[in-house]
Amino acid sequence: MANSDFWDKRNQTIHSNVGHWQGGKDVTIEGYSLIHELMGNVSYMQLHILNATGKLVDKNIADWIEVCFMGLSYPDSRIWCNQIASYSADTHSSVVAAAAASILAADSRGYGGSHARKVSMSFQKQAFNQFKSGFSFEKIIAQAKFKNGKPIIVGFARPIDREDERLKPFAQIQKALFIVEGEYLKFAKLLSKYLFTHYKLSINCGGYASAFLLDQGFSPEDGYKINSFSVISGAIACYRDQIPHSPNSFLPMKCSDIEYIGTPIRKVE
Amino acid sequence: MTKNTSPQNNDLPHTQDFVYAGKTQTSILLETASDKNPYISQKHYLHGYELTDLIKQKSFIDTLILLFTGELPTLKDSQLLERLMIALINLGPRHPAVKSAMVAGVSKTNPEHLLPIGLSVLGGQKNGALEVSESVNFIYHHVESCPESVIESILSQTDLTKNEGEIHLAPGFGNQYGGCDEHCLALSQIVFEPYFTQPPEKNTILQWVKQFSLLLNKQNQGLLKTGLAAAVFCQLGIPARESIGLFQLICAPGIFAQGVEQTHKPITAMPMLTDEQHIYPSKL
Repeated sequence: MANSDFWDKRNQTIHSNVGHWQGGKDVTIEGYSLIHELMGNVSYMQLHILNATGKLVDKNIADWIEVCFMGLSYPDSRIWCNQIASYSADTHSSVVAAAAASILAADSRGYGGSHARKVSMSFQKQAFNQFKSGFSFEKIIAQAKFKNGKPIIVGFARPIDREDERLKPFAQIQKALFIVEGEYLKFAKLLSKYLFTHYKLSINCGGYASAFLLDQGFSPEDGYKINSFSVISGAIACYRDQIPHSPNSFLPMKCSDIEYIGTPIRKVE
Repeated sequence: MTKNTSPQNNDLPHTQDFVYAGKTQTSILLETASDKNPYISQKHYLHGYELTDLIKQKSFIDTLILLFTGELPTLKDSQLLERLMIALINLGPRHPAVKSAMVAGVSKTNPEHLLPIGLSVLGGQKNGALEVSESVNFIYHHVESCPESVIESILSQTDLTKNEGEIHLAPGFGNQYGGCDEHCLALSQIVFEPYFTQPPEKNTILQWVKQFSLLLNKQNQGLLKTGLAAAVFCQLGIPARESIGLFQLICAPGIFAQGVEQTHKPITAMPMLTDEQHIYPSKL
């Protein structure tokens, strides 16, 4: 017989390192009592970050991340994940289906702040370490993939437009919350200057937020988990906007609106 | 979009980083419009074939392969995929994707969510669709190499004693619950069988996978269901990214059937572990 000790230990048993619900009494989260310590004393965002990373951060840090969430979810159905929420409304899917589909859609390396956050934080972490060890910006950027003569670096270009209206409030609110600018953010700004001079690319809100999270000691995986549902709010708004309307009324397309570029019409042999 | 207010940007021309297409393009389906209403389609052509002709003359499997490869398959290719689809029609109530749909079903989740829930879980990198795509890449990459030397190379970079639990030496190949997946091995023999009656040059990929898997058995490793799917997809010329959804599609019937079965039962029909069965090291 094969050795099945590893599986036998887990058969009909859950070993948890995060928390435990004691029905009727309390809930423990990372050693804290939900009922007696956390409820009423921490914000929802602090609790979410605790669940996502195991770290109970100060309220001002959680407040800044909450502001960042506000910048990641707009009620505008042109944005890809929101468009999907609107299509959900068009077929009268449930609002939860719309929200879940929208979160899945934003699990993208290109935008959305969840997977993209991990990608961006990983790049900045590596680039920062290389810069510290003496690499020039030119050498660091040379490692990136290039398209149309520009490096593809998540967090330093915006798919729709180059400007980013969120950067100013991000910086102002960080200051108002007495959160000092860390080494990663300083580095990200230097990198942005270099990219702007050479490629007309500059830091966007994702690049800023990635540097911020690195400065707070979070790993790229932590960033992915914290931001896993960050687009949900705008998606629900777009769902609400579309749900009263007729089926097939959100961005209806004529047959000719799709350009067919495939094999010409042929007969089955 | 907001006006450019950044001082550092003022002296540079404002250009967009991306240029978006005016129209969506596809090479898969052509819809011709009705003469009376441009939103209503009159005929559908799948990779050039009129859908009504496919309905009359071709099987579902033929059409499925056409959808993903752009060409109608040979009889052997069609049989190969059909056998795989039967083999993977239900991964069983112990697979995490199926269990998820069942847990959702018994807990009265809206029934339309059961399949998406299961398929999301099935998207994973271990025993899921992402492993299938990695396995497709692995097979395409190594099929020209001697299986023994590939195993030797992998083993030289892996310390099997360091890992606890399930180990996949390569995507699609590994152990399950500490041993070889005997059921998968048996399935693979039946799935591959009609293809092995062809001349050897027409089944090199499946032969390689078979040989590689058997050699791995010495390491208490072998073919996994993700690897089985990947082998068939490679043989059919399905690319790695396409293999992700195709695997999910093939496994979907069992996920939904097992999930919806539970919706007819009370919420108590599945076990809820006791406090003692939920072990947390620093309980209050």
